[in-house]
Amino acid sequence: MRRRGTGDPAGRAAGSPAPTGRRDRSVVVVTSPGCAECRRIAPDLDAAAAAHPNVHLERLDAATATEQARSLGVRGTPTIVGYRDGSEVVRSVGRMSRDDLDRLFGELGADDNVTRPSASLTDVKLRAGAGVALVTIGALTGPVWPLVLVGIALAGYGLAGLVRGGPR
Amino acid sequence: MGFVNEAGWDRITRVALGVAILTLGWTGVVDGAWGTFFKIIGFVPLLTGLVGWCPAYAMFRFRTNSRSGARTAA
Repeated sequence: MRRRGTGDPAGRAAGSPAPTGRRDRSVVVVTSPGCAECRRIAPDLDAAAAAHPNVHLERLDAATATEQARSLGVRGTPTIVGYRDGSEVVRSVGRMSRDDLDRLFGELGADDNVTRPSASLTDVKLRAGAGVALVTIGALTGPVWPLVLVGIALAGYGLAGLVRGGPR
Repeated sequence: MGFVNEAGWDRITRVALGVAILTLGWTGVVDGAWGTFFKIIGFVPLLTGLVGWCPAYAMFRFRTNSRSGARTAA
């Protein structure tokens, strides 16, 4: 289901206000009817939006909201524009992986004033998985304490990503 | 987000390879000079896989993950 954005159709540039006039965190996705990539990322967008309810997802159809898409400076679809506190902070054109989308939503939804890198689910899984593997191998073959200690540190780092508010 | 230049499969492969190399080195399966080499070099794929950034990729402006690719609007 597509929802049209509303707001000021004036020209857009980095730092310019969100088209919907929202002052909080939002992602505007511009799609077009013939765009296969737009259809492909639609479920990933929904998943990222569901995982980050404090980031509003807005969809624009370039075919029907042509002026608004033009005012956003859209040159290809999908174009994904992230707004934080009402100003554009990130823009991406073309394919984005599920992890990249999750990271974009996570960075926009972060509570800090400074946008910081956030751990994606892949990061958490890799850290925890590598840590557990090293601990297990180190414990079963010795124990080989360097492997065990590095594994504990990695596993702890990975799990800390879960505890710190979950992967974003 | 542009910092990460490795795809998911690339990162998993690197981490698995790093764990395997470290295991071979630290458990003594590979000993001697090669064992010492494995003990150290194993951290390279492990760390680059965990971080998601490969300096060799960055040097040659190569990436295995998908990033921008413009599509013509209808």
